[in-house]
Amino acid sequence: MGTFSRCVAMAAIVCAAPMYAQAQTRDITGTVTQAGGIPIPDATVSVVGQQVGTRTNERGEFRLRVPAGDQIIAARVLGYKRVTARVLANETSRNFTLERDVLQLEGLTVTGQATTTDRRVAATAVATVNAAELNRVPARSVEGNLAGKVAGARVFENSGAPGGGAQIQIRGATSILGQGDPLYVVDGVIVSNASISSGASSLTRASGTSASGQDQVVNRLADFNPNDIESIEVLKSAAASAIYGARATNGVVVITTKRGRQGRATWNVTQRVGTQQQQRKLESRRFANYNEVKADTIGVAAGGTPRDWTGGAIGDAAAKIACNPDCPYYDWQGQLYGRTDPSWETLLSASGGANNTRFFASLNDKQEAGIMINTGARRTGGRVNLDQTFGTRWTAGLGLDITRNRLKRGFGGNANAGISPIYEFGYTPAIIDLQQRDATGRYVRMPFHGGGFNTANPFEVIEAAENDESVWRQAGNLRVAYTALASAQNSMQVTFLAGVDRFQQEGYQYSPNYLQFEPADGFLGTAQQSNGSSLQFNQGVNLVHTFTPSSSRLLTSATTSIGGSYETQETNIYRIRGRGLLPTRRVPVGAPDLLVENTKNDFRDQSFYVNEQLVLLDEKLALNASVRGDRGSANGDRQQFYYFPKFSASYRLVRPFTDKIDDIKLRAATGKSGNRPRYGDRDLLFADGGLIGGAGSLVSNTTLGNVNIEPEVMNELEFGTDITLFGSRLNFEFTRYQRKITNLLLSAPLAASSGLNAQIINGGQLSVLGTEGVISAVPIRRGRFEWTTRVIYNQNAQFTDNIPVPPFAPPNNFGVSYGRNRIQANTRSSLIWGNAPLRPCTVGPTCLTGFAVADTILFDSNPVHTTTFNNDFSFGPITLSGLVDWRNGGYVSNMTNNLYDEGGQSRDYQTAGAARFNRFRANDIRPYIQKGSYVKIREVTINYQAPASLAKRIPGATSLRFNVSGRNLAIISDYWGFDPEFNNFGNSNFNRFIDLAPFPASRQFFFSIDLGF
Amino acid sequence: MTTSELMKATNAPRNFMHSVPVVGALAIAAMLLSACSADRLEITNPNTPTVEGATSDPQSLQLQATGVLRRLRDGRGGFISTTGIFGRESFNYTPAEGRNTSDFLIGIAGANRIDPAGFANGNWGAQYLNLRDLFNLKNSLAASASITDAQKSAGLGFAKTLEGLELLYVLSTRDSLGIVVTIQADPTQLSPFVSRDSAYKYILTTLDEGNTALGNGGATFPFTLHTGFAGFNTPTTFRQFNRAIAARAAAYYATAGGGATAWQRALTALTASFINTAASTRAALDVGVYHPYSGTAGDAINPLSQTNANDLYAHPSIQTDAPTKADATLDNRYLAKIGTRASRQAPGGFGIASALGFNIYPTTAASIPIIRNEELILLRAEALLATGDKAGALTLINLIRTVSGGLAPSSLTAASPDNDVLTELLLQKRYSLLLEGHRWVDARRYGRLASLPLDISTGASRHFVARVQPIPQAECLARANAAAELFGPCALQK
Repeated sequence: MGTFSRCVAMAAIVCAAPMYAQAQTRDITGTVTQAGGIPIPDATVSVVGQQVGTRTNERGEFRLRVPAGDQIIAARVLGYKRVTARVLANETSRNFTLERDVLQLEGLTVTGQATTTDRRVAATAVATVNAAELNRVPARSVEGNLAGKVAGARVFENSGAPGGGAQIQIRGATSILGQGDPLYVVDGVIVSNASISSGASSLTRASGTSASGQDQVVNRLADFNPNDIESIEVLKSAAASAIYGARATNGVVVITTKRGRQGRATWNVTQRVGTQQQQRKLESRRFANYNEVKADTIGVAAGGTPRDWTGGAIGDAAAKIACNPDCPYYDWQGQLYGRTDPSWETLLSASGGANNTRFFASLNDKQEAGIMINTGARRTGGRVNLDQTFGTRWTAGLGLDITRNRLKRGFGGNANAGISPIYEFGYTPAIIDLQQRDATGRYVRMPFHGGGFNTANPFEVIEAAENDESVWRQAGNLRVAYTALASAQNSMQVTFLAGVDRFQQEGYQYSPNYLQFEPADGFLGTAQQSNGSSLQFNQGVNLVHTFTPSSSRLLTSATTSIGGSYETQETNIYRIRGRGLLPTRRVPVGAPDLLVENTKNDFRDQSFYVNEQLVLLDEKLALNASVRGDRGSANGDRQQFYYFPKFSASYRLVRPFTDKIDDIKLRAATGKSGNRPRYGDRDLLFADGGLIGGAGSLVSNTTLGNVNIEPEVMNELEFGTDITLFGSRLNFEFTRYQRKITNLLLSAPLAASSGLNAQIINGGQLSVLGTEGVISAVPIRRGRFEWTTRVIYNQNAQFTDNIPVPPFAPPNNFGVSYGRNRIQANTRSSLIWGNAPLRPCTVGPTCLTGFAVADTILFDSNPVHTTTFNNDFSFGPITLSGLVDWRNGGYVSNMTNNLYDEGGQSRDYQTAGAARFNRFRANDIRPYIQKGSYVKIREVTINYQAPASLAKRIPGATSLRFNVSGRNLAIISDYWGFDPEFNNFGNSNFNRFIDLAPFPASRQFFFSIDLGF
Repeated sequence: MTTSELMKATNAPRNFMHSVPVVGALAIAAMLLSACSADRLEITNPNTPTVEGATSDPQSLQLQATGVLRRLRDGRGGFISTTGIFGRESFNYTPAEGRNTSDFLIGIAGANRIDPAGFANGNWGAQYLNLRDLFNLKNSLAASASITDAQKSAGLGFAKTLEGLELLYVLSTRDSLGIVVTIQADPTQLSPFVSRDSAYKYILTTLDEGNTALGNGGATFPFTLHTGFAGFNTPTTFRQFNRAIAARAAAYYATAGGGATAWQRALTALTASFINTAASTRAALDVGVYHPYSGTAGDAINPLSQTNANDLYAHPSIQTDAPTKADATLDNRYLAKIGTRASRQAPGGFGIASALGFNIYPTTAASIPIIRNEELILLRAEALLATGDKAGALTLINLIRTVSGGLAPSSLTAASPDNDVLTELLLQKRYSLLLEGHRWVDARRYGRLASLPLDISTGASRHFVARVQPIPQAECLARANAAAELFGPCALQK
């Protein structure tokens, strides 16, 4: 069947659906309560195996329309164990009593674009985080909330700057040049997690002229309010993510926001106040006297030239004055990063439902203060989710979200203009007071590190230079569902889904003409405006048919779904930079040096899928098979569909061997997912040759596009078992996976004599082999006291199996002298390569000690394992939770340390730094490839649920809760720098270990009061 | 509200809803139908011209022609500065980058050769990039439906002239190693290396074919040339430029095995070029074809300019070797072209200090010559000397001495030894064509590389004079699996 006729058929089904005949049905009513008769609102009651059901109201009451005959009905709600009951043909009522599900063994897991299945029959490893677990302690962005809570997903914060900037990597790197971030889906709609630089490089000159990936870029997940999230499910394996086809090799993060609950409207107000402080300090060297600054002999061989840390005549004069005769010491870092101003967060949410309408609405204002003066982030937003029932067959859901996100992240990371404070402090003896001002009110100049244009006084920079980001984001989704059929054994639902996600990100940099570094480029004063806008539009249709034979022991249910989608993503980025500003003018217009840049991207994708899901043998056996076809504008052949199949199966042994074992599930899954080419990889392009003699020109593009370019492909095989013991008091989950990624997007170098440099090709293979384990338990449950624990273990090994191009270093690194990954056949791709005297030799001028310097394997950036410990203790109204994160191994390129040693400023320069740097000078970079093991206390929180009597003293209030919490309270590590998690290049597939003068890490404390009305 | 009330409310708007489903379903079906169309996926890259879109554009011939002139210029600065270092004319004293000295003058320590993976393997990629563009331009000309056959011929002559010139730049730096002369339609297909002899023949043939095509090219090109071609911007006048390049190529070939036949070819070509031996002024010597520069956004500034090329220093021997005029002051060319700078030393102790710089290109908008009359006169002098007309050669040498250098005529006569006349000729060529990329090439052509000074002659930083630039390592790696390469220059330089 041709593509078009396939579409026509689907459209015809949608049209025909409303005319479908209605079969015999009856209503069943009842209540859902928990132990003690407390009603559970918003529980789902449905016929087992069917996708649709009804929800209980605030008194736990429900009414469910079911087909005639005996039916098995299930009642469930997140946080409780599911209960099923057989309702005989003549019965019309049934009550359910649910038990709490502390180990999270229940719930639904996503199996298709429009289908879910009970977690206990799921055939792939499931990772779901619910709202309570997610939001125990506030984080800068959702990624932070997820850290340590999902087996198989590693979360990294890129720096300590306020406002976000973090990466989630699921089961290792799957691409070298292609997209490395997971796909984010909110309420069924794909949303943007783009990382667009706001342009800090226009001032820092870290890389490029106007913007680069080294600008502490914030990925746009930072715009989401984690408090609106009901649950997050991470689809890790290709078998799970194959339902998202050609964009799913990096996994899919499925976010579900809160919906209205049936019944009286309830209001919640949370007011939070917090503070933050620098988690770790680098400190710096303390000089005894002028001679140490001017003529340092530490680490200098006898007769060698002493080292001069003054950086020239200006610095020398300043040092002479400062050291008289003893040098004073100023804690510059403590002064610059010592801000403990309050952070605020106000949350307001309302939820309710009456008649056919349910709503959830929230408002949120979060102000995060940065530890560096003049930095901070503020996110203000609101969300409305509406659910409406029209008659018995039609339902509609609507979600709208508007967010304003404003970030002042200051400067950090790499810089070549003396602008990044930590960078600058590495080269400047802390012997003068940089916070002094001269007679004109300006800060003193930085006399060291050359003292001229290429350096700066960070206090002045942070006060006077601006680097701001402002985002307006609007997202919305609409879901219309029609129940076409609800007969005795068959149900069918058609869903139409449309979503839009738009944001506009403005970046602004300004540096006034008087700043010390300004004359360096020959123009005084710089201003840059950046604008990045993104518009994504999705629409899709799903048709789900469920067959539930009433009296078959073999087949419990069969669910067939078919559907299709059309998605577009457009971005438009432009920047205007002006250098040489008129005094006090803060816009680029009229500047003698103007730079205008503009790039537009446009992706369009079409897909369709078929999915079959069988539950057999009294829910013991589950089988799932599906195939998705994708075609898109980024592929060489835009007409061609690429197919992504998946198969999975699980079998449950219910109470095998002994009653102590509740349930053993064996599962296996295999699937294929894709990663589409980058924008423009397919295009054969000319390049703008520039002007000559006033005329423009066309020249050939030195990188040749490939009209045959295809998506990268991942095949994954996953095996696992889930074992529940002792009446759900103990649960083991074990998963082993192997993924092979082929058809990699690569840049193949061409012989220069061909007249071109490289061509984009597909080829090669990466693979990942890994293990995930989760142990959940309730070790103690005595009276009102309960202790729940969960340990998550994570390990993988990543390989380059073969590569059809010469070995190369993947993007985002500083080369052989600082360590970087290298893609070379039959080698672990996570290894750090760099220069070290490790090649045995016998002769030659470079053979000094029997070993010559070579670019070789030094260490592995991949941790041996990461293990997290989640613990919850509850005693009546008091709960205490903690999350401890242990990373064992994983090496980091500590360029921060390198800077401080080169500049003679490291805190341990005399005892170790000089020796480190001498080895580095001898082309042995190993002293700066440092082990990044740590134990981090990520989250600690104490909750106190005040008695209702206390709450009622506040007019209208029904509940009152107090909370004290802390994030990143401590890091226990031998690592020399701030945090081994940080990366100068932000989100990267490889080379995610470059620590270069980052914005320091902070610990945060919060106190909050939560009132319910 | 009780449960039953709740359900009643749910059922209430049934009648109203009866027609909505059909309308809704139709609307959704319509949306889906349009979303399924594959036409939706056909989008064009707005950021950069696509080959498909640009070649069908009426402007494209002009833009491509300008493109090859732009790319020709892109390689020029690098050619002059690298051959300048090899030929002991110039230094690149970039602070903190010793390799700009060591890779050129020391090479692989103790091995007397240049590192194929180092800094001194240039004058390769930039030229082949342009050869690719010339290949594309020829295809575009052949496919164009909007120009006459005469214009096609004129365009072809233009392209072939530049093709010969670019190949000559590559060959003059690789010499006996041999080079690649052909561009393949499929860039993944490797062209073979050909010998120096074959390469010269290919270049001379290409230039001759260009000359013929220009002859059939009518009155105008199908595009306009920039101001650097003033006086040479019609097919007829452009032929003089073509012949000038052919004369240089033939002269180079003559000293590389082409012998007397090639010298004759050079003399013939010179006659058809814009040579003017009646030149009596500096301006007359400077007539020729140039690369223009400007500071306009998108354009490029002169990479060797006095104001901008701060790291470009002149070799001190330029001062000590400079001839003196009758009034005991130095040669006019020295005075005009060389100025003093703050003394700078090579980083890393790899070279010697210099306090001289070049004033040849005083501003960032100064043009750099491609070829000019002064070179043609000297080429004719070379050819005359080689073909036995020593007196004729001396006449031209003296023309240059007087007009260009302000010197007295040479004391040499037709009775002087050939070698002395050649020495004098090369001295004049050195000063006349200073920083135009000639001294190193000429020294090799006449077997005089050993006459170039070694600034550091002992120790670990010992200098040597490179005979050729190596084939870049990347080129060899890309060819590593080709059987034919086992015996090619890549195999030799391992």
